[in-house]
Amino acid sequence: MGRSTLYPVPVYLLMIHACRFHTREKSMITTRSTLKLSTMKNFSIVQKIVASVLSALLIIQFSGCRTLAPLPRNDIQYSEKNHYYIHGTNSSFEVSGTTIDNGIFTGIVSHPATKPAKGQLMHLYVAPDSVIKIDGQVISVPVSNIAKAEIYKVDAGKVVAIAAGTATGAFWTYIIIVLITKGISCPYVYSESATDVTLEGELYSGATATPIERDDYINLKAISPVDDQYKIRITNEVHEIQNTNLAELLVFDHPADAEVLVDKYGVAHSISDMAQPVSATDTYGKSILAELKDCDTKMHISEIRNDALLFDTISLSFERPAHSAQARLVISAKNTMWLDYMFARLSDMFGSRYDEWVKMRNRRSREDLLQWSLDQGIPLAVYLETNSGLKFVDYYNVPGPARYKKDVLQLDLSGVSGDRVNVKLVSGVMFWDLDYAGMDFTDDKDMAKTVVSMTCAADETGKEVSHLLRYDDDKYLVQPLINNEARLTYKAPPALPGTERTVILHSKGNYEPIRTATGKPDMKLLISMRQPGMFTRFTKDHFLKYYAGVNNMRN
Amino acid sequence: MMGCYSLKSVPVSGIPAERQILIVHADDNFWTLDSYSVSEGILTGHIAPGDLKVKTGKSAHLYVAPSTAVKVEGETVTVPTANIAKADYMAIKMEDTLGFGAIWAGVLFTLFLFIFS
Repeated sequence: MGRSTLYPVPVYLLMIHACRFHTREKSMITTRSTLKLSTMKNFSIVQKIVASVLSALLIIQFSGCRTLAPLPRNDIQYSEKNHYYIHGTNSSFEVSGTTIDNGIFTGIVSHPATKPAKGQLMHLYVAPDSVIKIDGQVISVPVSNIAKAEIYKVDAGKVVAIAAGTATGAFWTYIIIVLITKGISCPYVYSESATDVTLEGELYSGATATPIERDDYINLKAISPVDDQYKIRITNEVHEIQNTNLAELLVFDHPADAEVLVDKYGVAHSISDMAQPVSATDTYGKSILAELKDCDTKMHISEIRNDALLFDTISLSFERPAHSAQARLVISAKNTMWLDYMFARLSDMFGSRYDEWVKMRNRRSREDLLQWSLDQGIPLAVYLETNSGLKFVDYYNVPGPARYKKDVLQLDLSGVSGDRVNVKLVSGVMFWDLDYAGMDFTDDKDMAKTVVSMTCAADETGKEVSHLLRYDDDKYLVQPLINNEARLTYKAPPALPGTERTVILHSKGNYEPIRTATGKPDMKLLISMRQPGMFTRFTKDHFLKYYAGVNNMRN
Repeated sequence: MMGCYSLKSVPVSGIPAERQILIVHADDNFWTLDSYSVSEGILTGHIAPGDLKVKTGKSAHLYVAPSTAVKVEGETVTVPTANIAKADYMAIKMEDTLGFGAIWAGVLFTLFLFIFS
């Protein structure tokens, strides 16, 4: 194992990683009418622009965005400069160590080896030349013969312009990175309310081949009925062919103190008493309790070290209530853009044979594809410490990089003894961004579930497409182009008095990323990707190689 | 909108011909001249009427020391050129004007998108 070196994540990756979207009605950046770049959970656009402006001001303050400004002669002695240029009509001198006494400005002629900072300089214009007296290294000038004094002042206009320009530049850089890294994703789903259209997340992320078509359950947090109707939009905003089989709403009316989550098997859970972990550590034993404690601005992303570790292992320990036989492990997480980016790079490595690879994947079994994905640490694997050792029990499907998603898995504790439940969450290095982890040991509360099928759906041309989405069958809404959009409408069931409502979109589908790579594929490397962990190694090596390059450039 | 100006220092003889208005500074005093000539080491100028509008692009500044070197007789000012410590004028800086123009255009475009999106 090599020397262990900590590599902080480069700024551009943090920017990539930090990208999130939400929408409002009108378009801003993309050709889509609904996409609008907006808040990051940590820092809003406004905060980022303010930060950029302040950074620019700081840089300008120390980097010489200054301009000459006159200084009243009486203020020369108070200006606290330490280097002077005396300009006669036909001569000039550099002077330091100055004093003003009895109306005579005196200083030592000096030629500093390094150029003094502009902020420390003053120019004095003297006339006539004859009043400039030099005695060895000492120079003196009557103050009354100083016609003009100039100092460098920060140019407010330039500062404002450059700060605004920097902020604008940072903003557009951010936009460009977002657009560049939106290489491979999955359908976006937006929910409507009376005033807003909000990005809720992505559907069936990771289902990049037909055999791994899957069900997806996403909580529509911002939806509210308009004229007793729920409205959502399913859009294609990236280069891929999106095939949606089913889109139905699950409406839960439940007690106000419960939160409803549906796991990947379609089982609804009411979460009412979340326990925080008593300990949470990363692969290297560092506590990440604060990061996982709440759904807030603190989150955990793998630390990158120049070592042989390919997987990030998060160890969680929960206090177990007596006699509890099962628990629900709840996380709030999303994937990093890094995973998207590297998967796109893998796809591009097939070059001219990419289409062949797509066909080949579509012929493989679901089990094979899922196993490959698990072997590379793409889903978030869950291991439980049992009486017979650590056991793989399940995994969380990838939620995509657009939004944090709460997800739940039920754990059987029959093989666990003691007063602690210890679990490990394992994924490829830097593939996941975990914001929260908690465990609920309580029983489900009563809740009313209504499955709502859509009343109508129209694509971007106005064509009715509801028959393609109403059932899990062999009919698909195919969205092959960027800007494809389907608007779906559901009749909102009447709310039950004394309850709160959670609306979840149950969808099913798959998608095929479209790549335009050319050239000869690197078959040796690609074949090696079949081995467990090889894709993960490829991504980590790529990261380290990139970062080493940055270091070299800096040096 | 107005362009970016920067101070350009020149010898008295280097003041561009189109800058016919001179502002002569000495201590806290100044005189605005609407015509001038330089001959045998003496700058002679005519004091402009008080309502003269001084445009940045048409004027230059002279800094004189000591102030006693400035002689005023009626509407005529004379100054020995040896006592003119500095002559300068504000000149438009094309690269700054274009650069900052581009920056502001970008900023305004971005703000426009924010406001109308």
